[in-house]
Amino acid sequence: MNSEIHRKNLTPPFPGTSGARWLAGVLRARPGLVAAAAGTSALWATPGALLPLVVGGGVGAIDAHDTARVWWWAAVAVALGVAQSVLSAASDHLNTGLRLHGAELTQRLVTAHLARVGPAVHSATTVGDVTAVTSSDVDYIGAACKSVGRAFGTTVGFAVTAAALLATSAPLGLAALLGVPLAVVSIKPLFRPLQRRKAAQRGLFAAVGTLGADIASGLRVLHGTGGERRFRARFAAASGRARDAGGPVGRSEGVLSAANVAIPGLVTVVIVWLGARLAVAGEISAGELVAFYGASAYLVIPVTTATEAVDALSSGVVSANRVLALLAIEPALADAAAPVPLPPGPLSLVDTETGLVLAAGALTVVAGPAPGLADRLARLADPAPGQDVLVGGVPVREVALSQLRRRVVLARHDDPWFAGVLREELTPVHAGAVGPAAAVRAADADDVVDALDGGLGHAVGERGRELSGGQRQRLALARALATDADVLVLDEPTSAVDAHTESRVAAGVAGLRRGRTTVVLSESPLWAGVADRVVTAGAVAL
Amino acid sequence: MTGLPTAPPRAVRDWAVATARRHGGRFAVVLLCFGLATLIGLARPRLLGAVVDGVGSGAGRGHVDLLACLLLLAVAGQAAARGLAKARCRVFSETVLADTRERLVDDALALPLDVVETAGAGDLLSRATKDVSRVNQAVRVAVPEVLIAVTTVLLTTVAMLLTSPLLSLCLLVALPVLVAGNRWYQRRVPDAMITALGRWGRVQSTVHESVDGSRAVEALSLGGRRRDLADAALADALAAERGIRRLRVRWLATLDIGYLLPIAVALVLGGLAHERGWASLGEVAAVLAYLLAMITPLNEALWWLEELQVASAALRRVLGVSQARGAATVRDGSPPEGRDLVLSGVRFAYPGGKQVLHGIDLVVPPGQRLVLVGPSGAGKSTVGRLIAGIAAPTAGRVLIGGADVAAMPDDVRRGEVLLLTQENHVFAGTIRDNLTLPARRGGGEFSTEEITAALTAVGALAWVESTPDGLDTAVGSGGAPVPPAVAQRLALARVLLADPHTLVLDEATSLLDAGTARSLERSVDRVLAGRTVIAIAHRLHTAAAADRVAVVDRGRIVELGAPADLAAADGPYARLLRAAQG
Repeated sequence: MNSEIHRKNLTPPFPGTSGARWLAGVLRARPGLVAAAAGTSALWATPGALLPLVVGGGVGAIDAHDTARVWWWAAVAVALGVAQSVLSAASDHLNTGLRLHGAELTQRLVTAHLARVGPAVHSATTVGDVTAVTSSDVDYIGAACKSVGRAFGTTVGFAVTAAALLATSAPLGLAALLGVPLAVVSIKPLFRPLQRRKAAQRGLFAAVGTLGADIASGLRVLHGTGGERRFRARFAAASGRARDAGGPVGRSEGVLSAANVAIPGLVTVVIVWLGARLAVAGEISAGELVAFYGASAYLVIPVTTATEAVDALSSGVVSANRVLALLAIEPALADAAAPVPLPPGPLSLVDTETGLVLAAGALTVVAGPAPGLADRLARLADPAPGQDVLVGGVPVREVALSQLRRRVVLARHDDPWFAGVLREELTPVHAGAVGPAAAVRAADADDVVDALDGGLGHAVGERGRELSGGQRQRLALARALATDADVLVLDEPTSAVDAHTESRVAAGVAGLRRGRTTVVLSESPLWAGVADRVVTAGAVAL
Repeated sequence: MTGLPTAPPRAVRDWAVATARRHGGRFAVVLLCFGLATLIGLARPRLLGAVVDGVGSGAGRGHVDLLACLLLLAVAGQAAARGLAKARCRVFSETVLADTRERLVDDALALPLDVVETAGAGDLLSRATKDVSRVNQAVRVAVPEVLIAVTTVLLTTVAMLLTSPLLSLCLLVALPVLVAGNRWYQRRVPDAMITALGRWGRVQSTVHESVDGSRAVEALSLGGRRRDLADAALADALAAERGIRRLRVRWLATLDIGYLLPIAVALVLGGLAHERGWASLGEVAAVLAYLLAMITPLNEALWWLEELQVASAALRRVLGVSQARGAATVRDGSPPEGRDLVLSGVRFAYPGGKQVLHGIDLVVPPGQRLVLVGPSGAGKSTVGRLIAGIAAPTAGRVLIGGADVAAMPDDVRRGEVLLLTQENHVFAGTIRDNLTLPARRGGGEFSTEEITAALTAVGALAWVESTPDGLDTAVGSGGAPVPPAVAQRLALARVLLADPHTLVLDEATSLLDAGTARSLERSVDRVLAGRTVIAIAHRLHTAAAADRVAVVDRGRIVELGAPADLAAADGPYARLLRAAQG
């Protein structure tokens, strides 16, 4: 696949790479596409640049009563139209291709990296920041890639017009060539107050947006405690602040908009005035005057496009830096340098910090508080210095993580449920002897599955929001049971279900896991009832 | 899952008309300014024509200079009018947007909970955030651009007709090309864009899920699968983008031909007309200048049309929320006298769904602590919601102090009874904002002393004092993180501030681990002494401490009595106890 090649060409991490160089690297991954996009864009800009000259030529021919030449200019106009339509379609196709390439490459790198670093991402950044990279930075990088082709194209358009104008009249040509870029650049400083005011308003809008998001997740709470009126008042206040901040933004926009008309307009007036004087003096024709008028209006486009491209590129660089910061995050747990293989068969567990010894092939219930125990046993966190966890007699830090994860699985009471078809989500990456149906039965989740349209074929939505807390918990337990791991650590697996269900779950799990190492952290007597052994942290009983 | 309704296309028209009418004065000023800017702008090609004619008829430099001055005035006038229009337009659109989003919040707050639950909170969330911001984008940027473009194109056409009706005929050749191309495109592109936006949304939600649940992903070795899922979602999004590109490329091909054909025709027509003396060279030049001037605004309008289409789809989703409100029930029942809670013959069924409760009769004297137990799905939570007045029974009555709870005005009801569930939510704002959501009994604002007392009672004061700004620390989305156990204590403090005499606790501690749950329950018991408490629980130690226990099964109360008596009897409660003890 194409994307596989890209990933190889540009594999993270890139120590010391700057955002700009990285962006250049993204473009270098598709040199052919970049060249084609720039080339077509250059050709696309040409007919637009020539159009005022053609109109000028036509008016000249009409003035000279030369019918044949009038027809000829009309034919050229039609030809320009056809050429431009083909070229604008082609350049849009290629430039969009560049945008999609930039977005795709970035998103794939981010996704792959997130899979590699796992939970360590939370120590370095927030979920919101990661989401922002996926939602906006990827777009900005795409837009930066796209702007490259357009910028090159319009530069060529500018050069073509410049050459034609200079050939017609050197002084007028110079006035247009210097005046238009100067006019466009002189508008730039006006953007600053606008951007400042917009940023202020965006901040106020973010507050409105968060409150808006609060309704959806907090509606139950608002209805339950009667907070609607105060919430509405707070929302209206935030919304009003955002609305009022629109006034200053509007004034800045008004000034900018007026300048956008006035400053290039001024250049046109000067050119027409100079041109008219030259025409009165007989140095240029009426047709050439019309051509200059059109060209001075046209030149605004390439210059504006170029400044827009600069903006897009600088936003792209900012985004690239954010992406690089994300790509620089490293996994928190060091993989074993010289991995020791785990012995085959059921595995025992030893936690030196609590002194717990959990027998191989047995269901052990750990009653009473044991902070951090579950995470240590499955090595989601490393043991404290001087302490250790032994899996099948091997210190946990000396086992290759991939092997450890395959054989030791941890499920917590608050594990989320992921969107997707139930059967697929219940099928583990490394399938064992337990199928989804058997796992669902053992977790007493048959009723949950039966109640869904299509049973195991049902596609559950984002985070399983359509399910209740207890239903989600049982499905998550079934997902863990389906891994058929040699060691299964269950942290409060039935905290959200009633006693009847809990007793069925306990019996189901005990039956399914017979002969495998299972550790359940729970104070419930129902779990103790099915356990081979019940222990408390710090002491071993029964 | 059926989502919330989407308003029909005519609702968008009605909305636009109503909005324009409500803010009629402002809208008229905006239109007037844009029109004025365009009119003045149109003088420019006219003046150019005059310059060309002047040069042709051998006018002197003085005449040319005068025309240049007029041209300068035209530029200044156009700039001023355009700037004013833009500024006024922004104020207008901000007002409209604020109205729209505040209306959405009113509608959302009035939604019955079961409607939101069937539709999924995600649906409401995406309407309140993504759709609102899509409408923002369009109203702020697309509306002024389209207004400018449309007034420019219309007035330019009028100016052309005034300059030379004959030469204006050239516009007719553009019409079929542009109309056919745009109709074809505009019919297809909104759906394609909505598909693409939805698929990008799925890329985001997949990544979000993976990052949010990264511990479970790691523990279950799901990293590779989550990456593949995100890559597959990305491939779908890119495929949709390529689909849009295919549409756009074909449409673009028609545009340029549409723009340039009339110029060619105008040249030929102009040549003939000038030859026969029907049009001066200046008129020909002016018409050509008008044609050149039309290309950019026309192009802009056509590009923005697509944005407007997407925005109108988003607006239909925003307006759809009000349709789910249904008929507002008038609540003007009599105020309660006393605190006795009575349920008589209460039945409940979801609209068009199955019957959940089959006749519940229950009397709870003031200050009693009643625990509802029973298997999942027995209807315990429904009883709780009916007592709290969040839903109304389909038959029978729920009375507090002799007054019908379902008929009480919201403000009265909340002073009587509140519901606290396992679901807590930390709202964006300060800790104080979070606690003071309910109305204060007796009106006014909650004092810091009252808030501190509530926090002390639930054992959350130490945590609040450990935050950087105490009560004024920002929490919720983007603020300081609040651990789930603290969030639940804050929720309880909020209920204490609301100070109802009857409280429904629906599995309020079930998502916490056993130790935290027990310590929180102890705080609850302490502060709730003297109030009527209806607790729904699956942990039976909660039931043992109650005054009375009601066992609910399949929508009926099958056993009711003091926990010790029930434990001694050989009924459902005793069986439940035996099950719980293994």
